[in-house]
Amino acid sequence: MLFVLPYVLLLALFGLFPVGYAVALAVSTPEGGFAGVANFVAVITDYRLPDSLVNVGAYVLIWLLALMVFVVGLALLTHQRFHGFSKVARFAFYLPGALAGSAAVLVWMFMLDPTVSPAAGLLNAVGIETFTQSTAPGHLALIFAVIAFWTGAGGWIVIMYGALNNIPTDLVEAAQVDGAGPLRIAWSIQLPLIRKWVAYMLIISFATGTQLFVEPQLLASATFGGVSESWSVNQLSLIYAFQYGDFNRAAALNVGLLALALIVAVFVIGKVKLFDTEA
Amino acid sequence: MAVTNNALDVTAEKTTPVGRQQRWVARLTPSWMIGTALWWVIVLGFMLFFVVPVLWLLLAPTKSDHSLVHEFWLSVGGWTDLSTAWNHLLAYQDGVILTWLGNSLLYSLGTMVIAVIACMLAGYGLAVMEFRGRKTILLLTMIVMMMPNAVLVLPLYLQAELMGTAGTPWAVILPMAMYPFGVYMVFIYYSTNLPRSIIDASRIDGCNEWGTFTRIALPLGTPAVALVSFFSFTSSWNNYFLPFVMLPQTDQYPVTVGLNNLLTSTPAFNPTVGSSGLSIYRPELALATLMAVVPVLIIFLFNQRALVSGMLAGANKE
Amino acid sequence: MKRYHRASLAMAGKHTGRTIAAGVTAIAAALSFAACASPAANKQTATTSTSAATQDPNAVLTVWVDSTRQPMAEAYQKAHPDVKMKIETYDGNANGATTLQTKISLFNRSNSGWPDVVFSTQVAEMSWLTSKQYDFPLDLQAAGLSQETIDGFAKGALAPCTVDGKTVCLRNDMAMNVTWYDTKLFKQFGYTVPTTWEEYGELGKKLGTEHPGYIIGTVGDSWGGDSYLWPSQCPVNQAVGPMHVKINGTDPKCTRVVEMLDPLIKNKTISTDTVFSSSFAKKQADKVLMLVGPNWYGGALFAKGAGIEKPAGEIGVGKPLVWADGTDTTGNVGGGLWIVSKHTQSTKNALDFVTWVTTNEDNQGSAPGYPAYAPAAKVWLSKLLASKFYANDPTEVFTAAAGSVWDGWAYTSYSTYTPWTDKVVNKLNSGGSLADAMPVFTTELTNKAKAAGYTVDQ
Repeated sequence: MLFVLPYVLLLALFGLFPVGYAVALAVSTPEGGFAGVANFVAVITDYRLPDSLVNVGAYVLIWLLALMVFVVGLALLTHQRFHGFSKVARFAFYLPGALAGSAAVLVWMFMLDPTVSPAAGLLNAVGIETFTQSTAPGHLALIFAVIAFWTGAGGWIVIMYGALNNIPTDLVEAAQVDGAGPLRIAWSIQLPLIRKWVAYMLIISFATGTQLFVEPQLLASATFGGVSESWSVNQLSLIYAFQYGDFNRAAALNVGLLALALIVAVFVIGKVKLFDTEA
Repeated sequence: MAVTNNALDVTAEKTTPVGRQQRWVARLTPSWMIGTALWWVIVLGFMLFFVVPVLWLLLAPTKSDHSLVHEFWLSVGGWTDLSTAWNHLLAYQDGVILTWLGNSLLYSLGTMVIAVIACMLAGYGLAVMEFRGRKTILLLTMIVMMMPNAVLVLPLYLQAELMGTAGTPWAVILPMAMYPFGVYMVFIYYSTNLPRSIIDASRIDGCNEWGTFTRIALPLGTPAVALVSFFSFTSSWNNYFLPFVMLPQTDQYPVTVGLNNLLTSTPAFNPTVGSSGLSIYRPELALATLMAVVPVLIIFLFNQRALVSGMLAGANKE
Repeated sequence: MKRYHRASLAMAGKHTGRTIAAGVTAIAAALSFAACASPAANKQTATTSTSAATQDPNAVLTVWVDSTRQPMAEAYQKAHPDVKMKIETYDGNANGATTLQTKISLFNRSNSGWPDVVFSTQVAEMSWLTSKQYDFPLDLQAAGLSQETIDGFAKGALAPCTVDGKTVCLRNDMAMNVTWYDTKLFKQFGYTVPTTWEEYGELGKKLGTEHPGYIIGTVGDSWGGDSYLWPSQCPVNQAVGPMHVKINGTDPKCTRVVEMLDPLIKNKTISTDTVFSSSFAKKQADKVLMLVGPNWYGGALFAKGAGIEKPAGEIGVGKPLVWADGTDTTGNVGGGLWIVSKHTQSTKNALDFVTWVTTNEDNQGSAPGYPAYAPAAKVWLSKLLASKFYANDPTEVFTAAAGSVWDGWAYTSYSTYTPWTDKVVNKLNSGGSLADAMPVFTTELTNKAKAAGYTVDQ
């Protein structure tokens, strides 16, 4: 299949080779010998890992829930009516997506600082007076989920909207004729027909969520350490790689993350039959 | 068609094709009005959430650092503060910000072109043709997509050294052109929107695979092209770690890596540079951020229409 | 006809599919083999010899600086037009970035690409740069650095640059702690500026009852430990040897600080906010009676345009506070380093560059930070005096402070700042006391040290 050839070439060179190398690193010692599970054991017994797993777990949970409910919800809402204004709304939703990781964190450092934030009233109402209080450890999972949602939701809303558009209108009209309200139409007709896209969104978001790095890293330097430099698992792997120079342990941790994301992906793919060719 | 102005007349021709206005009128029930109110509250509420921080960013360069901290966030600063910020920014290492923007454009366009070609071809092939290894490729793609980036950097770097591309734009363009996310998007698009019957119809008509692709799938796949080009461009534009590792010289940096350098030259975030006379404060940083964001927004505007159009129903009436 | 056509396509597809899979595996295997066979895998056991690489008289001197030091590199180029130079700016490894670690790891693995000279903003950089894995700095004395030059640096300035008795970098600037006080407020309240820590504690108690809302210091900065524990010689981060520290927060030299500070934290004369936050700038700016902090607060905090800018003549600098038992050392927060790569192919030029840049009086005299090289510092101080910014003569204060930094504090490869903010400041903000926070702080330091491969004495 010549069609797949260009991509497969790129995949082999820039996808499979690096992943294979990383897996090889995970089971090797720094000198190049075979280490078996030694790296994995060392990583699992690291005193920071339990905390970072809990942190990332909480973050992913909040984020996926928000994505599922709000992205799909907003896509449905803006698809249903007021088509002219909906275009403006979708553009507004997407605006933040144009900001790269560090740009978004810069903006949110101001949003989270009660002294200068537009949301100062809201923050003060829950007793938050300084930036340090804002970024107290207990709030972080929510904060990162909010930032990730703010930058990421718009793109997914656009995709979901496109998916909704590809549902033949006769189906929807027929249902309306039968007396179905918008909620029923969404639940019984639209959602099932875009389930592949929703599944895709969940799989990707789970994987990128578990890899959270930029936001906690930048907040760590912005708060001069108030946010732990090993808050997320990926930050921990970077500490291994570039603070200790231990690429093998970093690779072991990443392979672990990969395995986790894959398990979830396989489960979701199976449920939704993502790989089948017909809708 | 009986035209009625009675808002509560719900018997008006439900089973015949009615005009949009009449359907609208027939729906003016209390529950509909509550629904609409809720619609506006939710949509506007979220719009505020998404837009207010961006609004802040838009206004920030027009103020001085002092007013950013001390004045009301929605205050609009002046032209003088804006031009001061602009001058300071351009004085930083002789206008390197413009070089960075140019680099970002080069890398992202390069990635986009290669990615679109590879993804459209591959996504189509995977969606439409049955061949051994199909599921393997899909699975491998998924694995690669999920591997955390940090450790991939080392082998990619070594490989770039091997291939002789280290320190050149190719070291950044090629790995990012491998865009599994795009392949999946095209795959899902074609597998949900391109009915088997159309393919079969074209094969019956004597088209070979390439003909089917260029004459039927590609025109119908414009939304997919728009999606892939848009997302591959933006993901390349927003990429930080790969260029950071691959490119040694400041004047090769894309704007993401450059912004980070700028950040560490800002006293507010790195107090030790306080008295250095570099004049990079928060307004300058905000201005640089805005400049980094505008190209992406422009591309989004252009692609908006293509991104949301595309209906396949009716193309396959047998 | 249709079925046959489709079947043959399918078969062709199967065949090519298998071919593709085979091809993919082959490519991946070949590349992995190539990578493993490369010398990269053996780089970890590189020798730590001090001999430089083969010299090349036409080599371009590549210098990495941060944007603040770029003018220095350019000044050198201007003064030495016949030296071929390439100046690259990077983030200076500031703010917890691991830029240098990343780049040097990669250069080591691919056996090429190192810059000749690097400037780093991190005073503890040698703790990992000299380790076996990175093995980057050149022994400067062996390469020709004179003892006379070394002796010209302030006492203790080259401590972070001395590893195993060898001088492996040159210090750019000092960041010793002094006391800052607002002469206007002191006059207004009728207080005298304390000279001992005990007096400081008493002043805080008095201030809290007489003028609540005013502060004489803050522990909310990530370098709070450097400002209060280091001067007391508290062994919560004491250097024992390379990769060997002592971490003990219950020593009397630590507890005396905690006992002095806790009542002040309670009555809020010691803040738990960081001086560079916007909340500090907005709420505290007019209520700063005193601060204990590094010498670069002058430009970063009080100067025109800075966070809590004060008019000229209002802020005074005082000598570091001393303890009644005679402990008269002070702490240090920062200071940049100039490092020469042991892989450089133009050793003479590189050495000349770092020497010029740290000792040249014109260059350092107009630098933003207090020069570590004593003669240049004199020039710098005379310029500072001429600016008439301070209420008193800062010359003697800074010189004395520069020479009294306690050399027992460890410069570690792991950050001692992040545990302070993460464990201590967060705890203080949620209502705890410093006494409660110290055990958590020392546990975290111990964990970090051990994870980074250090031996820890309790």
